[in-house]
Amino acid sequence: MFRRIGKKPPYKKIQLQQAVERKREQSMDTLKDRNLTASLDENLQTMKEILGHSSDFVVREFQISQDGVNAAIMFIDGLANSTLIDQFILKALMIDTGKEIDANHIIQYIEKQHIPINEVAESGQLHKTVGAVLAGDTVLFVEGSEKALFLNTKGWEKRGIEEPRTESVVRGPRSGFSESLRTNTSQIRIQLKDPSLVVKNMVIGKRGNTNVAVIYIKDLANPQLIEEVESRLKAINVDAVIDSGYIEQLIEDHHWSPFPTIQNTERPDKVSANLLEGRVVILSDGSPFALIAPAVFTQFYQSPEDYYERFLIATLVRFIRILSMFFAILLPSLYIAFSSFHPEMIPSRLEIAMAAGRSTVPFPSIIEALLMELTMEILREASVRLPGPIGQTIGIVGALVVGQAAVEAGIVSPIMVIVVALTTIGSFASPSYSAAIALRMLRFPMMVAAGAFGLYGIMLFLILIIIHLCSLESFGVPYMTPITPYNRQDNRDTFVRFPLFQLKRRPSFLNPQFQYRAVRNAQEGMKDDQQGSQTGN
Amino acid sequence: MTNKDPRQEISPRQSASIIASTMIGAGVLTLPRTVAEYAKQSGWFAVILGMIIAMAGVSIMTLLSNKFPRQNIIEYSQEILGSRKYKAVGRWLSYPLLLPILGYWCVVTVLASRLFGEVVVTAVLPATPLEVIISTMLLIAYVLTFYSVEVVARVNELLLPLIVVPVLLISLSSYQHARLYHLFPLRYDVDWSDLFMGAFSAFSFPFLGFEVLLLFAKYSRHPSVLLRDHVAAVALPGFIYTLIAVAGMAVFGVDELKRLMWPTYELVKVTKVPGLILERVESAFIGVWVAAVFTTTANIYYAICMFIREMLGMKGHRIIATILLPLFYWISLRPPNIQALINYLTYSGCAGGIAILVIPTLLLGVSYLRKKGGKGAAHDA
Repeated sequence: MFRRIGKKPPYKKIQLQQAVERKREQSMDTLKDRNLTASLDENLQTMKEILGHSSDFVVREFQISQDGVNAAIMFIDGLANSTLIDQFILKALMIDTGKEIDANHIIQYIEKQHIPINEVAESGQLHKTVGAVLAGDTVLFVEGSEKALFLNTKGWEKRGIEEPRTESVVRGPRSGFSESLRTNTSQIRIQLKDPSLVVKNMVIGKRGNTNVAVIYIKDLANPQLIEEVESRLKAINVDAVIDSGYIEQLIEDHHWSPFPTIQNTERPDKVSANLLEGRVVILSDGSPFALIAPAVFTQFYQSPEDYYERFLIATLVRFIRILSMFFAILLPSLYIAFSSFHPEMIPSRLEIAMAAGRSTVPFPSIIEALLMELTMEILREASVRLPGPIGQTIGIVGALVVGQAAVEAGIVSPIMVIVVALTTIGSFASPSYSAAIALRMLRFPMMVAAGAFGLYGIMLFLILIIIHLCSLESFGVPYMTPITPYNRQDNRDTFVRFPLFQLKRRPSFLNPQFQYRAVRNAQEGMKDDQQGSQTGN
Repeated sequence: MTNKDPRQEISPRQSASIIASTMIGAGVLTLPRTVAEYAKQSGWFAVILGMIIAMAGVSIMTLLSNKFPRQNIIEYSQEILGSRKYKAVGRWLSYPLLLPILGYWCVVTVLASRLFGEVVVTAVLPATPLEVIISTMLLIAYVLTFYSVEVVARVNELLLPLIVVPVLLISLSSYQHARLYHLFPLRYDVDWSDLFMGAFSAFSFPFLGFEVLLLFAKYSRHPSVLLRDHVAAVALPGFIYTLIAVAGMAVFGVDELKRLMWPTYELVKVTKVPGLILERVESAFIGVWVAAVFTTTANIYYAICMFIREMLGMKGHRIIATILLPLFYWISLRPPNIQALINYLTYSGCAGGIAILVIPTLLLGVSYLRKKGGKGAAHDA
C-alpha cells in the first residue's frame, strides 16, 4: 500500500565524509558504550569532564545521614526545580534518614524509602545519565554504587495555554497547543479519555535530542499507517528538531510540491477529531504545531468549526471557503485574461468603465496585476513581522493608502484594486495557513499563463495543477481522495457536511480498524430503545 | 507478460470516466453539421443511432476484456490467435491486425488537437499562431504520459464533471432560441440509408474514443461488473451530443446548419447568460473545451504509448512518448487548411470506425470458436 518508503541513498562520497566526521564529533552516540563505576570520585570526574564547562551545571556533594556515605547530586540550573531538590532530595537524604543504612543495596534502599519523588529511574549507562541531566532530571550518585538514580525534578518556565494564533474559530474550544510536549499531550488526553490512546515517545536529533511523541488510537488507526509513520521517523536524522516543521519536511512524500502532504495544526480539538478518524499525530517538544498524517486536499477548506456549527451553516461556510479559494488562485488571472484577451465577455457598460479606468495606466494588465499583487505580498509579509497592533495598522494603512494613491497616480486601475483586495481576502479565508500559501504561490504562474494565452492559458495551467494534485499521495493515500478515487460514503463530508448523526462512518480511505463511529441522535436512540424493549418482551 | 505493478488499479467509475471523457472531445464542434448533411431533420435521431453503435462497440470490447482479465489487447490477441507451441505465430498474426488501430489513434489524436487549435485561433486568440496552440496542447498531454495509469484515471475522474456540467448548462441554455418548427417534418426526404450514413458519420468521429479501454481495461479492479458502467459511460456523451444536435437543429434549422463551419460554437455564440454577468460565453465555452480536448488527446496519447510499449516489450514509455511528441506535431501540421483537415478526419474516422468495430468483433468471435479465455467473467456480466 505504501509505495514511497525507501528514498534514494545519498551520494557515496557524502556518506564517507559524514562517517569520518561522525567519529570526531563528540555527541551522545560516543558515550553509548561507557558505563558508570563504583567510585563516586571517578563518576564525578567523568561527568565534570563532559558537562563541567558550563556554568549552569551544578554539582552538590554531601553525605547521607550522620555517619555518612558520600553522595552527590547534579542537575542543570534552570531546568530543574530547586525547591523540589532542596525539600525532597537534599533534606530527605541529609537530615531525615536514620542511622542504619543497608550499605549493600543502598541505591534501592534510597529509592524505596527515602526520596518522596514520583518518577524515579536508575541506570548505570553514561549516556543515559548525561541525557537525564540535560533533560532536567536530578541525578544522584552514591559511593559504592555502579548505578545512578534519575529523579524527575523537571520544572522550567513555560508559556501557558493560549488561544491559537493561526486557526481562530468563532465557535469551539479556545485552547491551543504550547511549546511543552507534556502540556500538549495532556490537552489531547483531556478530550479523549480513551485507554487505547497511545502516546509513544521517540528521541530525534543528534544534538537536540528532542522528545517527539507519536500519538494514535491503538485499535482505530490502520497498523500499516502507524508502522509507516514510525519507520519514517526512525529513519530520519537531523541536528535538532527546533520545530515540528523540521520533521514535516524530512518525512513528507513530495518535497517538490507546493501542496503540503502533512497537515499541521495548533488546535487540540482538531488533533482529537483526526485521531478519531484514524489518523496519526506527531507532536514535538518545543513546537506548538502538531503534525497530522495523512493529509488530503480537503484540508484546504475544512475547519474544525464545521463540526461544531449546525450542518446547514457549516455547509454554507464551506462553500464560501471554496469560493474564496478560487478567488485566491484565479481572480487576478481572470482579470488579465478578460481585459487583454476577451473583453467581449465583460458586460459592455462595465467594459466602458474599465477602459476609462485603465486609460491612464501605461502598462499592460499583466504588469499592472503583478505589480499590485507583489505589493500586497510585501505588505502582508511586513504586517506579519511587525508587533501586533502596529502590524494591523500597517496592513490597513498600506492597503488603503497605497491602493488609493496608485489609482490616483494612474499606475493601476480601480478595478485592479478591487481584484487584489478580493484575492487577498480570499486567501485569508482558508482555515489552514500552509495550505493557503500554496495557492498564493500558484497565483503568480497562473497570471503569467493568463498573460500569455488568456483563458486558454488559465485552463492549461489548471489542468497541469490537476494532474499534479492527482499524482500526489500522502502516506499511501491519494491526495484528492475522496473526490477521486471517488467514494460516496466519504463524500458525505467533502463539500457538503452531512448532519452529524448521518456521518456514521469514518473516512474509508484511512482504512481504520473500525469503520463505524459511535453516533446516534435522540430520535434514533429512542426508536432503538423502543424496539429493544419490544423484542425484549 | 503479467501485470508488472499489481498496485495499479482503476475503479469501475474511473474506467467509465476515462471512456466518457475520451469520447467528449473536438468532434462535437462539427457534429450537428455532419449529421444534418446526411440525415437532415432526423439528424438527432442519427446521433442516437450512433450512440447505439458505440454502445455495441463498447459492449464487445468489454466482453473481450472480461474474458481476459488483467490483460490488454496486445496480450490477449496473441493468445487468441496464436498457438501454445509457437509463440511467435500469435505475435505475427496479431500485430498486423492491431496496427490499423494504432495508426488510427496516431492520426486522430493529432488531428483532434489541430481541429481544436483551428477553433481557438479563429475564435478566441486570433493573434496567436496555430503552432503554439497545438504544441502547448500536445505538451500537457505529454506531461500526463509521465505518470502512472492510476493518475490518468484520477485526472479523468476529476475532469469529467468539470467538463460535463458546464457543457450541459451551455447546451441547455442555448434552447432559449430554439424554434420547434425547425425540427419538422421529421422524416422529410430521408431514407434509412441516409439515416445510417448520418449515424455512422456521428459514430466515426465524435463517438470514437471508447476504444482506449482495449488498453485501460487491463487495470480494472472489478473486471466482471464493468459492462453496465461502460454502457453508461457511452450514454453520457450520447445524451450531451443528442442535446446539442437537437439544439443546433432547433436554433438554426437544417439549411443554415449545413453552412456553418463550427455549428456548436455558433450555438454558444447566440446564447445569453441570464443576469448578464458575462456578455458572451464563447470564450468560456472554449475554456471548458480545453479540458475536453485535453482528456481526448492525452488519453489516446497514453494509450498509444502503452500500445507501443507492450509491442516492444519495454518497461517504461517515456522514451516512446518523447519520440512521438515531435512526430505528432509534424503530422498535425500536414493538412494545409480546414477543409483538408475535415476531409482527413472524415476518412480516418471512417476507417478507424470500421477497424474499431471489426477487429474486436473478430477477436471475440475467434476466442469463442477456439474456446480461449475465461468464461466466468464474461457470462456474469
